[in-house]
Parts: sequence; structure tokens; C-alpha cells
Amino acid sequence: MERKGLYIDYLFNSKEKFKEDLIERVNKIKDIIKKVEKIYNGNSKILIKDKAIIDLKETLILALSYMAMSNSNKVKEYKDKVIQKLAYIRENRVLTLDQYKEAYNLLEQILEL
Amino acid sequence: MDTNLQYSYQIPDLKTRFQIGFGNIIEQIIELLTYSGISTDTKTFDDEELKYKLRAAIAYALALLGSTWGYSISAKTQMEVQIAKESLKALFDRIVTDPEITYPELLDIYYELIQKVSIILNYGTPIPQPKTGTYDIT
Repeated sequence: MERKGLYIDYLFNSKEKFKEDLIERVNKIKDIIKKVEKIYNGNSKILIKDKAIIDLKETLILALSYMAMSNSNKVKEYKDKVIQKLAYIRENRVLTLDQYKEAYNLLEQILEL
Repeated sequence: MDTNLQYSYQIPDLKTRFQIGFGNIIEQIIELLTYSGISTDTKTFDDEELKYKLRAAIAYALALLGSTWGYSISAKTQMEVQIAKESLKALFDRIVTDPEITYPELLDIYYELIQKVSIILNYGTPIPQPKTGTYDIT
């Protein structure tokens, strides 16, 4: 995914802008899901890998950064889930469509913080 | 041709300079966390470089904290600065003392670091200092 500048600059100087960027990235993950569902007729066991996985990992790491700035008491729960998800992806390199969707749902919840 | 040009310039304060340095290294850490465990045609992303960059980022965070000396801070904040300093040193030690440190633990350290730096950046207010001048290139 193309970078728009220093993430951390967004994060520290404009949390709003950082969130906008994160929303855009989460929407891109949603688009990937739609495409895969369309191509593979909603087969939930289809494996997602390569660029789509890299995009998801990067978005999860940015979501983790976003959470580090949040005062919400739900952060701890989400933080652990994000770290577990990232660790799982690192080990397995691929996700089924269902697992990919789970990660997307997690990102959606984080955006509501 | 005018060879006696004068340019005005701005000197960023110490804290701003450390903040930029910290931002640059965090960019690299995000990339290393993303590609961790992956081999491309040109590079294998093991976690050694990630550990090294995280240590460097913590050093920058300590420098940021140290640069608050040029700021006006309350006694309460001074105490918080001391606590933040110890926390950052503890994060640094976690990386140095555990050669078997795992990827999830490194993610946790990254999270803690961002959290602490976001607080550090709010410490104190700058004491006004002359920041502009002219630079004679002749």
C-alpha cells in the first residue's frame, strides 16, 4: 500500500488524519474481501496470501499504533487480539477467507474506539 | 549576480529534532514488523534488525525525554519524567537481556514505546528562545 508520509507524524501531530488514513486502509481490506468472495463464490476456506496478507499486517500494525494513543479501557483486549493475529500470520503466512474477515472485523472495532 | 544573498532559516529545537529522528526510525520499524519472517528476492527479514531498530527508537525516546530540560515543567511532571525514563530503560533491557525474545513480545514493546512517547511529547512547554537568524553565503 502506498505511503502518504510519516505515520508517526500523523499520529503525534494529527490523530484525526491518522484515523482517516487507517479508515482508508481498512476499506481497502474490505475491498480485498469483496473481490475474493466474488472470484471464489464465497468459499470461506480459500487461502489468502502474498500482497493481501502484507496489506493486512501493515494495517494491523498501524491499528496497534493508533490504540497506543487511545485512552479507552477496551484497548487492552483489542491490543492482545491484534498481537495474537499478527503472530499467527507471521507463523502461517496465509489466512483463510474466514480468518481474513475476522481480522477485518477486529479492525472495524478498533476504529470505533 | 548578487553574491551576497542572505537566507533566513529556522533552527528546530532539540525536542523537534529528536521527534523527527524517532519518526524516521518508527517508519523503518513498521516495515520490519510487517515483513518479519518473510524472504524477498533482495532481503530476508529476520528479527535481529527489528531488535536493533527498536533499541535505537528507545534511545531516541530517552533523548526526547532528556530534551525536556529546555522546557518549563512542573515538579509533578519532573517526577513523571523520572518514571518514564525508568520504564524506557526497562523496555531497552527486555530486548537486550532476552536473546530468545519473540515476535509478539517485540510487538508489545513497540506498543509500549508508542504509548510512552505520546505521553512524553506532552511534557512541558517550550521556553521561548531566539530561533531565527540570517545565513550569509558569501
